[in-house]
Amino acid sequence: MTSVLLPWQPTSADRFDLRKAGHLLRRAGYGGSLSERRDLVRGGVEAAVAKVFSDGATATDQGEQWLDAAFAFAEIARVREFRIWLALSGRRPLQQRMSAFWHGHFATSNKKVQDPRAMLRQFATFDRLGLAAFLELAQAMVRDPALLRWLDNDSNGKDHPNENFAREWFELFTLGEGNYQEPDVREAAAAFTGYHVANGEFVMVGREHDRREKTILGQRGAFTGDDVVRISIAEPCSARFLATKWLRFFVHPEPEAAWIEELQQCYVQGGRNIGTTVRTLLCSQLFFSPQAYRSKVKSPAELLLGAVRACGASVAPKLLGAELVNLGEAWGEPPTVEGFHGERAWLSPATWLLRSNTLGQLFLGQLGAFSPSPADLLARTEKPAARVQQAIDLLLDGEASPESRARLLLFANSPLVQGPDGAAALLHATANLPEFHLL
Amino acid sequence: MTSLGLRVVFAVGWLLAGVAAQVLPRGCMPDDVLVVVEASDAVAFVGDLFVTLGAVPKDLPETVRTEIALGLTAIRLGLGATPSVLARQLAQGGFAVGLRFGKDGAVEMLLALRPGDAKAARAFLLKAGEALQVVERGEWLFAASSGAGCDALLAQVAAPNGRWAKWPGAVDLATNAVAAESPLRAYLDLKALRAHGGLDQKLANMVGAVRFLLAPMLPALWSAPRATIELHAGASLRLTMRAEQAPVAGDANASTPMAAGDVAVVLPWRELLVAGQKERTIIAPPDGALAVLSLDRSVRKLLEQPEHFLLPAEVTQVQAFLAVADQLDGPRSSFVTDLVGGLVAPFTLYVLAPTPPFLSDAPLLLLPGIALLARTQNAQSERVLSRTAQVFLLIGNAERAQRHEAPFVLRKVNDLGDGVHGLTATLPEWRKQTLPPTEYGIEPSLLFGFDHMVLASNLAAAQAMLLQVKNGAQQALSGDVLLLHGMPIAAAVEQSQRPLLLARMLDEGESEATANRFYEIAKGLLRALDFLALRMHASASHTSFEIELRRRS
Amino acid sequence: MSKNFDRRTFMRGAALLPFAAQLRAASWLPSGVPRTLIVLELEGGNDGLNTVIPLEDANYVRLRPRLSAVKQTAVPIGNGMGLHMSLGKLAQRVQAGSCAIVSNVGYPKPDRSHFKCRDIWHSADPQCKQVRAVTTGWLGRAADLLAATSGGMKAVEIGGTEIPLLLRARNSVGLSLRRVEDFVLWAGDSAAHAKRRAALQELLAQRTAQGLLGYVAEVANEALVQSSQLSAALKNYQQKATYPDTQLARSLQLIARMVIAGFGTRLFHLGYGGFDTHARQLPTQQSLLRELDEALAAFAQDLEAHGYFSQTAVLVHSEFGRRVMENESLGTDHGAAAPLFVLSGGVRGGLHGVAPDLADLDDGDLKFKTDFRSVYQDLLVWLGCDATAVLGGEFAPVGLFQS
Repeated sequence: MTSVLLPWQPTSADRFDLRKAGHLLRRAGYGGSLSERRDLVRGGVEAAVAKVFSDGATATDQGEQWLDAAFAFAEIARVREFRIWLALSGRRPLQQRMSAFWHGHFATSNKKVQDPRAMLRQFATFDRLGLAAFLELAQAMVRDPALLRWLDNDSNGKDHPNENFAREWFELFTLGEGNYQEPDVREAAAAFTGYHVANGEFVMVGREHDRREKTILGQRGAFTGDDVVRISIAEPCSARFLATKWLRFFVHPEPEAAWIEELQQCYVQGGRNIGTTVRTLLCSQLFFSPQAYRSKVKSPAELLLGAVRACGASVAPKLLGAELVNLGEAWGEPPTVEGFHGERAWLSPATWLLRSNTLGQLFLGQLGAFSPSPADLLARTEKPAARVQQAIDLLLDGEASPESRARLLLFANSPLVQGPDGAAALLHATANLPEFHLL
Repeated sequence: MTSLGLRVVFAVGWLLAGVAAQVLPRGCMPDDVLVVVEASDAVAFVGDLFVTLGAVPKDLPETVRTEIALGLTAIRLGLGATPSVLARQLAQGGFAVGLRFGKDGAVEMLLALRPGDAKAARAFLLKAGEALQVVERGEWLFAASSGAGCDALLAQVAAPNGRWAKWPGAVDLATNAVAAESPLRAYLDLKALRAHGGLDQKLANMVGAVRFLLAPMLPALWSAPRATIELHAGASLRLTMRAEQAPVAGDANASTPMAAGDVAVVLPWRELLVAGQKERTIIAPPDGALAVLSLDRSVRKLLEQPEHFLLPAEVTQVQAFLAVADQLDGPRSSFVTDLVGGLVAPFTLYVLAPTPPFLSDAPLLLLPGIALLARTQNAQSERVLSRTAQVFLLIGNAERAQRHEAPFVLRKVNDLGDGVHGLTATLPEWRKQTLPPTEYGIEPSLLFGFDHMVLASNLAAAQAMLLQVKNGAQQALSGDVLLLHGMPIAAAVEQSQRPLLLARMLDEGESEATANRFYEIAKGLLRALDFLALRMHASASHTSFEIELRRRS
Repeated sequence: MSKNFDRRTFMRGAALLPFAAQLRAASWLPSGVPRTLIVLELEGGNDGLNTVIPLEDANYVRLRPRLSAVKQTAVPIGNGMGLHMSLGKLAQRVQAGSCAIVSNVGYPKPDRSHFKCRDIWHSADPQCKQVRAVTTGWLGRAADLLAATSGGMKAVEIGGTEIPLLLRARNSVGLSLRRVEDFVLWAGDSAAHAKRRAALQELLAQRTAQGLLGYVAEVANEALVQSSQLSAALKNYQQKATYPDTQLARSLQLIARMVIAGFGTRLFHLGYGGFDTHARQLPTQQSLLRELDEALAAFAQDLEAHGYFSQTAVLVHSEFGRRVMENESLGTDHGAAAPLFVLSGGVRGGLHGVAPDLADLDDGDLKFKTDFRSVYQDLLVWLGCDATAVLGGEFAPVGLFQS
């Protein structure tokens, strides 16, 4: 039997090289510098996966460590900057990546929640449980003040039910459209009654909770919201729904049916644990296949944060936060409950120009100091061909089509990239290549 | 040209032999120079400066102290001598530096020195700038970045009646006579600089808020022919700028009248001054205050006649603001006449040390107490203020409710026999596991007592200020003053350092170590500082602006 | 296939030759220009009754003994109505037929909260009690429909710091624009940047890549074509009206530049605030309306001179009108129905709708006679957009445009 989820074994013809290390770091993190990538290659693929999972990490989790300080600021922009700061640190790559996944999944916007601290805590919950058993995360989410408020569950009471939360719970969080009936939504809404928020905290308001017997997804009982969680995530279609989203996020925007089938089996057999499922996926032949490589369009965060991390540079999170908002990926304020409209929707001529200009300003130090400077990054050599190779190694895993390479060389040969900001111009040109816009 | 040059040289030789000893260094500067920096005794000044600055602050991190020590050594090595030795070598008999501006905007520097050791001075100058032209004449050493510059200096000395020779010294404000000159000073031809730098245009387009702040300075910046900047070193380091407001008779350069339309933009701002030149008293801040800001302005006058002071777009903004503000207390009172007018201008703003909230733990970011203090006109103004404060609280609470936040609870502060009474608003007790958020350090408070009103960000600050009023703690001053005290600011920074560190990392992209170092240096410097004062004062004929920095002894 | 090839070849030519783009920009004829709608929102609740004034109504003077002073200086526009003296230039356009006024616009059961009313106007849903996660705005929905037929950035917020509900869409990414330069390829500020930009364009010009890489390359290529069109057109833009030195005028001029440049953005929104005149209304409204009048006049004149005015419409409205009776502070409080303006070279100018009846009030407020969605519908139809799809129903047309 062949399985696309079997662990990928490097061979002499198909090695774990810089290209594959870059792929792993971009998909399971926000990318990494050339030296990080070289280290991964030296350590081999298993150690590399362990690294992105931060197995055995002893250093304190920065997100936890600084949460109290971040709490001092009640602004959504600060929350966003804090999250960017954590992502840029690269200390727990997959944790941050997974939190971004869950932010897109349980997409909650402060535009309505109006409580940046609740948003901060929701992100912290993603950090803590994003790779745990899905049941644990789901139970935390039905108690999450920001999510409850976002979907109006704080006004869902016994005598005045509000179905918003129950509907999205089935449609967007667990089962997917078409896998439940209208009566299920009504009954689940009754089960979620009384799951309220007071003074920014979750409270179970007993007198608002509807205790009668309900029939939900074919089961009957005096169910609470926690029962809805338990019942919904045990549905086979739930496993398929999540497996599809993980494959889209980590592997390919249009996963094949066979892949979904395999991954959902893996998820169910592994006790519905997110971490073990994602680990299997990230070690798999499928993940390292040519089909997966550069098969996704980078989101603005993947593009900007990725550019900074690929250069091993440091940039002020505040400025990146403002640029993310400009480019349409305002963390903490997704446009709708469906999250950010990703993939090809990120690219239109107008957004492409914004992306290109922002990258240019980033490299040319117009978004605050970019250190080490592009000149230092390309300092190794003066020869145009070698500089082009260096830029391609930095930003494109050393992998560019012959056409891109030839044109970049033409650009590097022109007198335009001499001068003090020549190196920045060369990096900007490299980042303008279509390859760089793919994840 | 050559014969002229020769004649000049002869003339200079003759002059220097006789007149030079009386010539002020600035007298060597040609007329087209617009700024002159001059010292008559550089050695004394460098000595004073080192006494004032004192030793490297001991509170600075050890690494920084080492770096400063290394830096000083490096400077010493670079200069080839200690600063005081160098000052003697270069300019024992004084020096002047002049700046003139080319048509293309390039700045040319002209240098006239009376060295203590001509040979060493010449060697130093030649080492300092390769392109520097150096000419020696008698006891003078001239240097410029071009030969033309040196020629201009030589020509000026040959004809010693240039305008800089007659340029008046600083005028003592008290006596209106020429003051004793400070060791280091600069003279500015403001009129020419205005025309050159487009300052006129900048002043005309300046936004209302900045004009309000700079009100006493505006006429001087607009019309004064000249300004003098002095640096005094001694008990403290003082940088003083004085500008003459009105044209001085006999100065041909300063006789052009101002255009009427232009005057309208700038001049009325002095009408906002309440005390003007007169000395006034304010209530002294309590010990441990971080800062005091006292601006001699009438807000009421500004709001009553916005069209008199502001640009048309700003007038519209003020009107739109008043359209809402006037309705806060209903038709019973007017915002401008009764509320703002109910307080005796000018008001004073105090920043006091942070105090933790009464009911809850201290938030991680603890804000200092901010208090606005003013004398009240009558009992009516108290009623208007109280009602308006309640409306504001209502609006604030409505906004908090929209964000699902607990409302501020209003309670009365009762007269405990001292006549102090008013309102304060507190947030309910914070009962969660985490530390309370920043706004828990805020208790908006409005207190009355001893004919004063204080509006403060917490009750302790309000009470502390009324206690000062009660104790008759007064302080005399004139003009505008901003006073910052180093020690309490350092303590406030220290108290909230963790969130400040995070903010620095997010804003600047610094690592934790770098951000930490930034605050350690800031605190070290602040702890060494007794106070930093900014003062602005306008008299009938002069405007002065002063920065004073005093180290803690 | 061959069509695609032609387009690509053409774009390549345009990208490589800056002159080609210029030629194209210059040869665009206004008749081929797609229609553009600008929604200008007077924030805070403009007092409609003192903007379009019932000159002959005795009730007006009775209910507003002091505020009706504006009547004395009003500019008559017929039917017993007059425009506020500050709107003199707009009044000329009403007379000349390039500005329409729709009287008494509103919706049933009006709300009095700034935020709720704003949400209602933005979502085009009078039932919009609370903005939900899935709530979209009417311009956003229109943008989705327009984007389906062509690419590009269909809807833009001008000057605002965030995307308002009005522009929230299901599929399009809303953008806020402060500087038009954001949409020109940037290659540094050094002297060499123009040449560097050309080199970047060459770097990205027609490629042979397939699949996703080919898709990105094509988008990049199209972006470069648009960028050079825009910069050429912006360079060619010659201001043909004197704009006053105000933020509002600057924003409108930015829109004019984009319209004239043929940038392809068809929906704009901008806000202009300060109309919450609870007290001392007369001087405030006078200066606010004057600024509005001057900015709109310059904008209209500029577009007219370039030949774009008939293809552009500006809708000027506010979230609500104010109470009919003046209050004790020489101001007015939050009310209901109000007139709105549609400024366009293609509009049927003059007064539309039913004039307000001050003898028949609903709890002290004017009763609305024209549903705001009727106005939206006319504008959407004029834009060539499926109005029913955007508004979720059909409404009685106002007849703002010749059909």
